[in-house]
Amino acid sequence: MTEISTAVGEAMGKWIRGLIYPGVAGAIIAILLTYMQLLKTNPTAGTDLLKGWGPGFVLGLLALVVVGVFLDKMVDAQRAGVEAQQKVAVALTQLAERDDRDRDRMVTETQYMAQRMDQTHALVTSVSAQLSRIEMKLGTKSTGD
Amino acid sequence: MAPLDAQQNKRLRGAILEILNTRHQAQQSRLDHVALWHVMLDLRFDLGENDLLTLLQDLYDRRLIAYEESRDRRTNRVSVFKLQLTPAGRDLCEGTSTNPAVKF
Repeated sequence: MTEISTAVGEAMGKWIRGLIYPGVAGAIIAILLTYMQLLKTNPTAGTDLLKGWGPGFVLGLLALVVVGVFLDKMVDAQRAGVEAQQKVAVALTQLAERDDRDRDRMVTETQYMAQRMDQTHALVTSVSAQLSRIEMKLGTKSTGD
Repeated sequence: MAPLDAQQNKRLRGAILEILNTRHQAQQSRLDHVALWHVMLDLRFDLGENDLLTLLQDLYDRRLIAYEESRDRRTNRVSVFKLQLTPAGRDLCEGTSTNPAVKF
């Protein structure tokens, strides 16, 4: 069960990462290509556009990269969290199984001892009866005090 | 540990059969030799793991118990598991038959 969920977690992580990297890279490349095309066809407009965008454009690009890296790290952290939870679940299951084994063993030991007690009781009863018979034959049967 | 004498062996064989019979009557799972060994140690029987394996082989040879056995190729260690009474073993526990090699 845990192996399946680990595999599912890994597959989802790969899928999300597979979306993030091409998306960020594609956006940056598309912006750069469009801008270069504009510079070739109309350099004045290209320069004006760059001026118009200002530092916000550069910061935007940087933010895209940062968000991409951050999301990637977040996916990693989430996966590590899921793996840790799975390990805790496995450990708890093993603990429960060990408790079950201990309980099972104690049940066997108790039943065995109860059986031996029954046998001992039967033996004492038999010996007591034999003693009574011997006492009767010898005429020394006690009065019970 | 000193080797067990004949009387001890007989009593220990009887105890093993009784423990297996107890579990059988309670419909509990079949023991392996390590679990059985721990049960016997808890019940204050003084025997080592190899002593127990020898006794189990004795009982198996007498067709009183059945089990599966495996040997680790690297350590040459024998493991016995799925221990259960045979009908002859159950008869012995119930007093239907007797065996000079077993004492209850």
